[in-house]
Parts: sequence; C-alpha cells; structure tokens
Amino acid sequence: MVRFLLKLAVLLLAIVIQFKFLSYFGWTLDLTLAALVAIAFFASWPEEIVFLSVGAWFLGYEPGIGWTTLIYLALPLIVFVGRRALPWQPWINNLMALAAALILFYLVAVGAAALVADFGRFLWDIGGSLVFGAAAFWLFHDYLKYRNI
Amino acid sequence: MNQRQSWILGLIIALLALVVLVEPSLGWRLAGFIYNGGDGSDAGSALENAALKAELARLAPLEKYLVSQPPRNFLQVPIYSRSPFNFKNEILVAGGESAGLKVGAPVAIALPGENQSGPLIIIIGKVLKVFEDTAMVQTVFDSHFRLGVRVGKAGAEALLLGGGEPKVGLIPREEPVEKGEAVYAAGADFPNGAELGELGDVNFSSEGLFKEAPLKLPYDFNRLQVVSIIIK
Repeated sequence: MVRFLLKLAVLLLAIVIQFKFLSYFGWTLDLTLAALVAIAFFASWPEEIVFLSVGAWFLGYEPGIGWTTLIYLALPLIVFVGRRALPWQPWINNLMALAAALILFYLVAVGAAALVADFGRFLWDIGGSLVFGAAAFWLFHDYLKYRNI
Repeated sequence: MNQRQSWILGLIIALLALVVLVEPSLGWRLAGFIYNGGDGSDAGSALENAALKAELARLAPLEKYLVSQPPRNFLQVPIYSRSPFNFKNEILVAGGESAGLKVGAPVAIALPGENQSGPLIIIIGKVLKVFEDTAMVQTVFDSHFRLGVRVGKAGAEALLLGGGEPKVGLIPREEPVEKGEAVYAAGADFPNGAELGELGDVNFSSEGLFKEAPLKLPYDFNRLQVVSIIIK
C-alpha cells in the first residue's frame, strides 16, 4: 500500500513539475515519462494500468487520447512488458530505457529535423529527465528496500 | 499485503479509473490549474482575467502594433489545455465546428488600442484540427509551424519558421531589412496587415543565400488564457 502511494506521489510530483516548467520557461522536462518508466520496473499489472491512466488524464490535451499522448504512454508500457529482458544492471536498465523512450518519442512525434534545430534544448530535456528518473528509481529500489517498506 | 490493504488499494484503483474514464475533461482543468497556479483555471474566469489584463494593457505603448481595419469576425475563446511536450506547441481552445471554426483559420490575440484606430492584432497561430466544441491551434512556437510573411515597409517576402524561438528565414539577401521592422502575415487566410512581431538581429543564413532573424514577440505566450479566432 505504501509502495503504491509512493509511486503515485512520485508520478503526481513529476506531472506538477512538468507543467510548472512549461508555465515558467515555455519548455519542459519529460518528468512524467521518467516517473512512468521508473515505475514500470516495480509496478504490478493493475498498478501499471492506474498509473498510465493518471498520466493519460493529465497529459491528454485534446478530446479523446491523441496519438502523441498514446505514444508517450505506450513507451512505459513497453518497458513494463519487456523489463525482464533488459540485460544490464537494474539502474542502468532504467536510464537506458528512459533515454531510448525519449529519443523514440520525439523522433516519432516531431521528427529529427525539429530535434536537430533545437538540439541543446533536447539535451537539457534528456539530462533533466534522466536525473529525475534515476532519483525515482533509487527511491523505489534502494530506499524502500533498506527501510524494509 | 494483507486483505484489508488489498481492498483499500482496489478501491483507490477503481476510484481513479472511474474518474479518468467518466470525467476526462477534469484532467484538462487540473492541468490548467497546475499550469496557471490556480489563476483562472476555468473558462469564465479566464475571460474575465483577460478583459482585466486587456484593460491594463491599454496603458502600455502599443501604438506601433495597431491596425486600422481589424477583421470583423473575431471569436474570443479561452484556452482549455496545452501540449505538455517539447517542440509541439499546440493549444486546445473552447470553440469548434458548432461555432463555425475551420482548419487553417488564423488565431490572434487582440488588445484594445489607445486610440480609435481599432484593436491591436497579433497572429499567434492557426487552427490545426476542429472538433465539435473545441479546436486545436498550432502556435508559432510549434516546430512544424510555417507561414509566408512580409517584412518591413518594403514588404520583403520571407518564411516564418516555428519553434521554441521562432525565426524569419528565406529573406532575399538584397532586401534591406533591419532589426525592429514589423513582420506581417502574408497567407491567403490571414487578415491583411496582421502582425506577428518584429525582426531581431538580422544575419545571413549558413549557406549565405538568404537573410534570417529571430522573431521578437510583444507578448508572453505562457501567460495567455484567451485567444481570438478570426472567422471568415
């Protein structure tokens, strides 16, 4: 129960920070994707469905779920399904999965030309999201284990 | 996890799923509330806030942005939600097919002017998709936004390239354009003389064939809560 609420809290925090960044700077970090990818390594099926639904609820910005939002949420689901197949240390798996998800998402959603035109911003996005993703993973993996929660 | 905890978890999951499925627009409102910091999160108060802001803006030096003949059919609509992703700057507005909106319609902000020559009109994007009661607007900050424009008094033809920092490109190198000159929309769907902003520092493009300059904007897009759609 505590684990579920903690994952939900991290996801909500990520969503709030993502929107606040957008509001203040006009661009943002993909912290929601970072949180969802980290959560995908620890969630059960029902939990995963809830977290993806919460993500869709907040990030969906058009009637129904647009294809952009759908891709954004499909990527953590792919990580969830294939999490046992990843070959590296758990924390590296998380970072590699998140970096791949971010690159794949933006390549599909906006195309390579847009990324190249504003590559510096894209690097900031990846860097900030990886830091948040690593912190979330540490919280779910190590902190809870040491605290025996 | 004991049985009691399982039940509570199940209840939370069911409640969340119910809210997500039954009231999806609540997500827009919550996201808007987070985005605006609780300021004008619903359509009504957004319009009221915009009216107040417009009144305050009347005191600012807006003369250079005034146009003498503003389009007549302005539909003022609040912004429901914004794309939360980078490079994709789209906003959902409260007005759709039922209000007569069409794909490609220009979207502007209109502020009352200081004199009788009409409101200040600045184009911020165009309608990308139309739904029954809402429409998706692609703004000049979207990486895929493109619009033919004219620059300065000479009316040099150029192309506005959208993005995080919009840029005016493909200005013929022989055109004597300068920093500070106004950039006007030149698309067929756009009102004649409607401005988008002004030129920043002018440079030659990397291949040296054209001039280019960043587009300087006279508004803070992140603070906008209401936009005007120009209906033909």
